[in-house]
Amino acid sequence: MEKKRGYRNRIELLQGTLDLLVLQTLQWGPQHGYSISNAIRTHSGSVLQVDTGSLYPALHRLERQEWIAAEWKVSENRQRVRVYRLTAAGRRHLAAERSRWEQFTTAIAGVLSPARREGET
Amino acid sequence: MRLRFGRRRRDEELDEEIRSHLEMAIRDRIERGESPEEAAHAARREFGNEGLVRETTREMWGWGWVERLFTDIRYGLRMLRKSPGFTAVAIITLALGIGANAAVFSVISAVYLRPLPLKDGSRLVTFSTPPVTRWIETTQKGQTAGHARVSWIDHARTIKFATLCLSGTVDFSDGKGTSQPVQASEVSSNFFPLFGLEPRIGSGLGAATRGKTVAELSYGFWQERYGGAPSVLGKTVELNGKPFTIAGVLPRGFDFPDGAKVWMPLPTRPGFAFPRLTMARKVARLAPGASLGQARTELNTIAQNLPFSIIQGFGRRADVEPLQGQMAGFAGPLFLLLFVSAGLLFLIACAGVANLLLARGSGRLQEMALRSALGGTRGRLVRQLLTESLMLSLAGAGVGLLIGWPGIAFARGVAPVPALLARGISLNAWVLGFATVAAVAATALSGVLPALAASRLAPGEALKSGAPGALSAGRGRATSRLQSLLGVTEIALACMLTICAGLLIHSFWKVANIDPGFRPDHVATAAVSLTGPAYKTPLSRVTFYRQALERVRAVPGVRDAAFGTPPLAFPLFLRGRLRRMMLWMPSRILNSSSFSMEGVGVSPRYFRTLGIPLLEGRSFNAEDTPTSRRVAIVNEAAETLALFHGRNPLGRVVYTDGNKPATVVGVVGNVSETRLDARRVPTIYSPITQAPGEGSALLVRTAGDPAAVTSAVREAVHEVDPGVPVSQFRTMRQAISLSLTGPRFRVTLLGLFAGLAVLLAVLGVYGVVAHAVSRRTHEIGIRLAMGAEPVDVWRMVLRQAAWLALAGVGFGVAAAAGLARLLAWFLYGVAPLDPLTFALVPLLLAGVAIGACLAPAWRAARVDPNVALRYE
Repeated sequence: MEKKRGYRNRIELLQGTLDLLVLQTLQWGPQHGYSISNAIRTHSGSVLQVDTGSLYPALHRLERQEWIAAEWKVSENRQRVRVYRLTAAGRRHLAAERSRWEQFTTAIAGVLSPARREGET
Repeated sequence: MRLRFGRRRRDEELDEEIRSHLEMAIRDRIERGESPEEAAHAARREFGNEGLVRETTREMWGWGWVERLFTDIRYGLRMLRKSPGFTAVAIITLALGIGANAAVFSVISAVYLRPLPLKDGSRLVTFSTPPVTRWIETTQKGQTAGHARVSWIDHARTIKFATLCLSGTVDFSDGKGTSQPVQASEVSSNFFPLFGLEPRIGSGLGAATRGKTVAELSYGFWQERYGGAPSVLGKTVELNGKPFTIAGVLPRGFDFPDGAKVWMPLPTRPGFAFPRLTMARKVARLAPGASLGQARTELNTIAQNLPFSIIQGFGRRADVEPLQGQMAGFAGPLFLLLFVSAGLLFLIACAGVANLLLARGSGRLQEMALRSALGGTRGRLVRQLLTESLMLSLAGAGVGLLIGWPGIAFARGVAPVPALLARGISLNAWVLGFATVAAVAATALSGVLPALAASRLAPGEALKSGAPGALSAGRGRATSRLQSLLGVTEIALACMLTICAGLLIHSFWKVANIDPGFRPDHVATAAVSLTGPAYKTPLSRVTFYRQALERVRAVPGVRDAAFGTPPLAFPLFLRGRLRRMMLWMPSRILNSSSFSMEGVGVSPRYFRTLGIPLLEGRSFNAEDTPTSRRVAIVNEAAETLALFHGRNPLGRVVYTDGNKPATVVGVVGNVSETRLDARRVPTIYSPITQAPGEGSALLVRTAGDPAAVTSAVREAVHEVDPGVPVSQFRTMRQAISLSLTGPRFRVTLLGLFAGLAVLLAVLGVYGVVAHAVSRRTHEIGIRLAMGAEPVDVWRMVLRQAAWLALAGVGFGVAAAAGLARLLAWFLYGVAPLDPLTFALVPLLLAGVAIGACLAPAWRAARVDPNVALRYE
């Protein structure tokens, strides 16, 4: 019971951010779910470990909103994998989300270090 | 179908995607040096709960709710099938509640909600005109050739196509032999165009046909009399003795006004079939864009400025009303009463089903607990239980419609509304929609609380293998409190309904025993109609009446006979609109001193035949001839008119229509007019020799059974003139009974509803008590083992039953006392807070409820302590 609620909470908190991470990861080229999860883990220095319970729902949600598109391909190991790629609309959404994220972090940074600002004025 | 296909494919793809993810994860781990088993194990653990991932991902597809609904439905069906007893009882209870409401709604919707089945029915209005003196002449002057219009509204802009129609009965004969009275109507030339009706066959009355002798038949009459043969066109028939050609047949279903079967054009001289153009009904259509309010204002203004002088006592108003509302007539309060009663029945049914669900819920605790422990949220459980409730309600609605169907057909026959509206009383889309809404409402009312109650629990508690139905004390108490509350509500509502029914029954009994003012036993009545060409002169009619009375009195078994004319004003004879005469006296006082009264022409022995007491003066006799001094007799109620200034009217001279003076020579007692419980109105009687009408009622007082002399009397009349129709034979007792159909109908229906309500409520109380007993079997076993006597158990159970019943009737009586005043319209001679009813009904109801609980009490007392205790 608790565990399930825990999942849900984490999904809710990270939903917007997770979407951003996934879209960003896909900007470097189409990938399947496993490699997306690895990429995020690697690029964040093993800080962010996206569990599959969040990743796959996110992927399918993004697909439904037509920001990413999926198709079945055969990998090098002769295995069928579902590969996702960014769509044009997804690219636009990614740019918008990035600028919002930057605004967000700048704002927080501004609050967290008020001394410097005071010094500036 | 496509949904499921696509769905299945996506499921498979998701499985494959997850599988490939795992395989890649395992492979990576193996490459990093783990053993295959470790790798598999670790990869799986890292992946997490596969099933949960699948579920959550699937939810993203947005089809979740549809799938859940289907699952719920399937599961619900299975659960309901497992307990057929519960399902059956619940469905039947709901069926009674919903079915009754659907039947009542079918009538109400046909009368008020559905538009008239005529072209643009909602924009048809009727209006009245203030009665003017010398109206007929004015109307005739105002006619343009060929069109009969209500000329004074020609300049009105808010209404168009005003049309006149008069209605009554004519004698219809196809030339050979006897005639039959048939409801007919004289109409102006724009009557049928107003309604947008083209004749089904033939050319119809056509335009510019005033005075022409053509007639049009209704579809029903055409089928009934001519078998639907097209050869009826061009046939000649006799209406009131005058030849008419049949020029058309109307489409099916039209019978306005008053169930007419034959339509004729307005005659050039009024009074052919029906008297007085003033009694004509006026129907019009609102002009496009005009509203009812605008029409009202405009017509009232026109009426205010009429150049004619209005008969005293009437205002200068034109009451504009929608036609549909007019047609519904006085049935409004009755429908309201039925609707409220059906509504109460519905509430009782819902409370009963809620109780059943509560009882059932406490038996499904383990199932709920298991599902909750497996991950079902409370919302999910509630949704599933509500789906079950909804299925029960819909099934109940279906069965209810099945039960209600004959009821609707029955209502179509007896509903006190015109046939044009009654046609709409059927099992149509409106009723189906209503039944569905009722089912949803039933689910909300009866299912929500039990669903919430059943899903509220901590899993650990119920999964313990306690005695089945053993509940933690707090929870059990809450449920049983709720059940008791519902039981009390049921009894209270049933008590209210039964008190209403009781009041109506009491009132009906009083009405049926009213003294009608005359002696109705051994009296037979018949309608006689003198409309042939031989009876154009008053003298010919007087002669006929005299001769007919001689012959009829000679019939063996007949004690006395008399004529009264016109038949419509005759007590209880025919239901219909009454003929009013204008009466006034010259007066030195300047205010209005003219009054409208009933006017009846009677033969000398009329009062004796009927048994109306002569209070003062004398009755008419042979001295009153067509040429002697005009005389009149008034009834008691007339004495109170300001006309007579409170003094004895004997010897006074009064003026009637046409400024004819008459001397009052006698005063008689009041009689009931069209209804037993109607107010006794002032009436003036003239001798039939001085006012011989064309249609009259023949009254015969017999020594024995009045029904036995009908054929002999008819023959006696035919000895004088075989062509005169003598019809509508009825004994006065039958006429009285006929006049009681309305109240009888009310009482029957309400009694039926009340009976059902009592049945449901008593079942409800029985259920509550029985359930309590079964829950407390353990406790009872302990008590008995500890030395309690069976009689103590009886007392315990019956005390609960008594509490429920008494609380229920207590609230019921209080509520009924508060609302009884609203019933006053229906009650005659019975106060709304009638002590007899208010005492008897609660006693009976409480008695029955407690009586029903004797069975569970008996069962409880017979509990074997060994068996009960063993369950521990």
